[in-house]
Amino acid sequence: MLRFEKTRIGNVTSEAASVFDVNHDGVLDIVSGEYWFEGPDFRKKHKIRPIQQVEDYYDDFCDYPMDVNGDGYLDIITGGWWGETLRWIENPHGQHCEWAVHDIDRPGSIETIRFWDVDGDGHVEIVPNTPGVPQAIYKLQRDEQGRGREAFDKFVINDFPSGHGLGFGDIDGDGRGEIILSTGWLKAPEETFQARWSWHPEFDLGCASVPILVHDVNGDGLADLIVGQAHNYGLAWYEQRIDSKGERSWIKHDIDPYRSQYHDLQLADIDNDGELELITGQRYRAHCGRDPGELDPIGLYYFKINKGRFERFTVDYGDPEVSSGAGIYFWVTDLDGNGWKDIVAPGKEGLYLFRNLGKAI
Amino acid sequence: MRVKSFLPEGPGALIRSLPGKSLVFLSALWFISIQGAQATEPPLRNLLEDFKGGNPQSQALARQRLPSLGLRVVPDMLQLLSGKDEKLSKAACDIILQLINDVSAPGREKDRKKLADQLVPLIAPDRSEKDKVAGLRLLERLVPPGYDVAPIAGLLADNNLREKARTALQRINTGEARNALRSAVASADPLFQVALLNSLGEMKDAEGLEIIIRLAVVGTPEVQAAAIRALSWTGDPSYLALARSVRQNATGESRFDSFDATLRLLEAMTARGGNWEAVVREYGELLKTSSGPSWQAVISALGQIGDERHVDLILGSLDPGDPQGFHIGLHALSQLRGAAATHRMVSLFPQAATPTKIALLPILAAKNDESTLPHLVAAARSADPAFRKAGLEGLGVSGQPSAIPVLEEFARSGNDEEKKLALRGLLTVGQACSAHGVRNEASRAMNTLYQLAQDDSQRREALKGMASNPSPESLDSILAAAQVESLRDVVFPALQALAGTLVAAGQGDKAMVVYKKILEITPGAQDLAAAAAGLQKLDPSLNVAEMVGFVTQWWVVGPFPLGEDKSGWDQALIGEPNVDLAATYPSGDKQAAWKRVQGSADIGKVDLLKEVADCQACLCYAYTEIEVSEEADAVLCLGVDDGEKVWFNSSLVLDNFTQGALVLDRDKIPVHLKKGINTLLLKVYQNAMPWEFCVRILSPEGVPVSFTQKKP
Repeated sequence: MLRFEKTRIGNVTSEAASVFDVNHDGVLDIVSGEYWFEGPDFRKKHKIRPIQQVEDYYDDFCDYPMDVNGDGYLDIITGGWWGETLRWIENPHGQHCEWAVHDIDRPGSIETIRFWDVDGDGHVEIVPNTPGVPQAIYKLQRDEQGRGREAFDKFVINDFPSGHGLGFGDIDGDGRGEIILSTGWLKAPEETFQARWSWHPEFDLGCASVPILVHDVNGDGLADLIVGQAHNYGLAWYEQRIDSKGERSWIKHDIDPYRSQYHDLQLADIDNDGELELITGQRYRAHCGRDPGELDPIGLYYFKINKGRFERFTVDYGDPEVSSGAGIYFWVTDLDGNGWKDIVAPGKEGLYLFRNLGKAI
Repeated sequence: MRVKSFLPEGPGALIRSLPGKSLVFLSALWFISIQGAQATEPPLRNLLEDFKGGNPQSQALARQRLPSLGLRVVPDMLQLLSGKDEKLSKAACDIILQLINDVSAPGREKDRKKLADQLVPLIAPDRSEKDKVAGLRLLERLVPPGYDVAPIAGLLADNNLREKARTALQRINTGEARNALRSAVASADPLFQVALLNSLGEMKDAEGLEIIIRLAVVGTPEVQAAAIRALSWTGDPSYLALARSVRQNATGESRFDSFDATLRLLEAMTARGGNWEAVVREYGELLKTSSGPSWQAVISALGQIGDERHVDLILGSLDPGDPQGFHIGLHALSQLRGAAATHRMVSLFPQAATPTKIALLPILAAKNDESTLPHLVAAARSADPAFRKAGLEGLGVSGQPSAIPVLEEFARSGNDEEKKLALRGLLTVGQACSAHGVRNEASRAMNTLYQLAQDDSQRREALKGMASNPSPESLDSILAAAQVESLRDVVFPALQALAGTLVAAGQGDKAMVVYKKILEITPGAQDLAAAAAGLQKLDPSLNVAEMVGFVTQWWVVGPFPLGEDKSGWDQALIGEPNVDLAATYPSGDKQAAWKRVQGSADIGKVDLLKEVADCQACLCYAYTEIEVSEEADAVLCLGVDDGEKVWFNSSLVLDNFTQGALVLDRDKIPVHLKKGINTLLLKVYQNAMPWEFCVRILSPEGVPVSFTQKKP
């Protein structure tokens, strides 16, 4: 059991956050929506840019750091539902002024974005979840030194709407990562962006989380799936089985069927035991009060996976006025350098830092 | 040096720096000011005399005025404070308290310190105990940060005064005060150590944590418990192990305190957040060793913050033989929130003892979760009357649409009590469905409620529900309700809503039935207008206006200027009350002639902007004749934009020069209809914007009067 020190950061209610050294002072900072908070105490906030608000959403479902223009400063990759635009926000070298906004593409409404090294070149690609349109992957053009050149190549890998939910991982053990959607997976060709991705409609994960995690839950050597219901009750893992004829099937196992709005999931070794834990929590008011379970307490949890016998450890739980969920994109990293990974949990209930103080005595 | 010579060091210095004439003038000023200053002295002395005197009125006035003289009254007040006259002593104390309040304002730090300096001698070693007590009482409200509290701390060694000194330092709660208490802890006896630790805890003394932790280890069991309590405010989970160890070391006398200290630590951890798991596990540990009030405290806390894991724990510890504990346990279960906790209760329900089950049913019902329905339904159908009652009540409270068929079943065929419960349940479920926008189910519940209602109160609620959730299925119920006089006020909204729904559903024939019903049962003006418009829209061939008593055939003439000072209003512009339909009248540069017009088909409205002129501040006349077969009393009901004069059978019956939009039946004029032809003449005023009117004729009971009009 871990101990955490909980701190509310500012009074922002954006649903995405990230952690990086914004101003190159050697100290990690927290970024969330319209502001970045200067480390190490995160009390001083700096405006990044104004963001469109719709109901109690901000049109900003991702704050991922990426040096797009190769100037050595990490910029932000973002997108939202209403703006329908994938953007990069240019870091003004840590200066205290508004950041310039650059459109990358207008793919349609973006649920959120994830970043994976899809082609195995050592750099992550941008993979937005755009439920209404086919799946696209954006690759930053880089120079010979690997520096970003402010330009992207777009690859569309299927021809039907992606649906809600997105994951990445090697499903079939061929060493290449696949894209997982809520009703099946897209198998990567040998030449990632040169050939067609084949579609395997093998399951129906519902209104799935982003990400859908690909992980060998039970240690049988096959990749399984861990899926949250982003706008309903449920958290489950789907066991991959291959029968004697080589036929693949998926068996659903509930992890937490009666908590709702598990929109973001992450795997990290948060208790330093050498095993990955599943870290997640509710996205509070994921549909502004219209999802099942909106009135239930919210929480932030980590689960020991125990080869499929998931054990939940609650970090925070209770009323949204005082408790924290996980938002749509939370961040796990060792912020204070104490050797234990901390959690930065954004959300409509507020932005919270949970400093991991290690194991309880 | 020159500058220095101009800096006055007193009147003399100032005078030395001035020329001769000025010197004379300023000397005079100085003299006056000295006199003035001397003149203020007598009031203080006089006030003091009054204050000490025996005249209650003068004493009261002095009491009010003395604080305004500021700190110079303090020496006298201190003297009185120490005096033998208790009444004066108390009054002096009150004045000093008022001064303390004054000098505690921002910007008066120097005065605050000065007053503290004046009061500290009260607690000097040579002073009486009474003075010391009074001094502590005053100083605890006054001592500012940075002020030396050694004189107060010195009293911590005085067995008679140490408690008062401790509480004074606690209230002062400056760094110096905390340090003084901290320093006293080590050498104090265990009893006083407990008190000092309580103070340090209340003061949230972070610097003293090291000392407090040491005492939690080396103190007597009572001191250890107090030490845990003193650090509980931190909410630091790293103290849980220490708290556990203190609980294990506790003796009979310190057991409750050590338990209470842990509870406080857990509450602070909960408030701080981030350690939910550690908190609930510790509560679980406490539960194993607690009983009575301690057990109740833990159960209540788990109810507040727990999740589904605690359902087993709480349910498993429920003992119907302990009524108070049983009640608290049930309350805790009712407090546990979230679908996960509800589902756990649902799955554990079958294993519970019968009394627990009966008590759990309302708790399950209040969760408003469909997963509870099977237990509620089973209970409602149980042979055991207690289960049946709890089940039926629960079905209603659950607010679940799927409870409706079961409630209907009992409302139709249950015994009297079951019927009553089922009807109440239908209302509750209907209202819940309505609130959640589940309209069809809400309508179904309300419709059934209406059909099976046992009194008008239930029928009224049902009609309100059907009005909010109109459905074609409730047609028969609402039409039946329209026949009930006592339900009229609630039936009209239901009829209107139903008609709208029927139209939207493409059931125009049924909607017409509803509209006709509205018109038939003599609605108020609003309902009438809405129904008439709705009906007219459904069947344009109908003349609804005539059906409901509107006058539709008119002759109009105008416009005529209102004139200055509304002179036209009072002039007989057409020789009224006589009317000559063949005559013409000057109207501007034209001659105005009578024109035959017809009111609208829904409410007989005549648009005068269209039929007479688009003008402002003008007038016109409207004339009509109606024929009745029998003489009768009647009421002319007029809606006019803006004002009107009315002649009925040539007699002026209304003069209402006003402005405003058309409101149906705004003006009601009792008249007597003679057999045969009756004449009605209106003079209608137009201010601006729309210009229109409508008239209907009702019996004194509000029923449309049957009449005929000549049509063109």
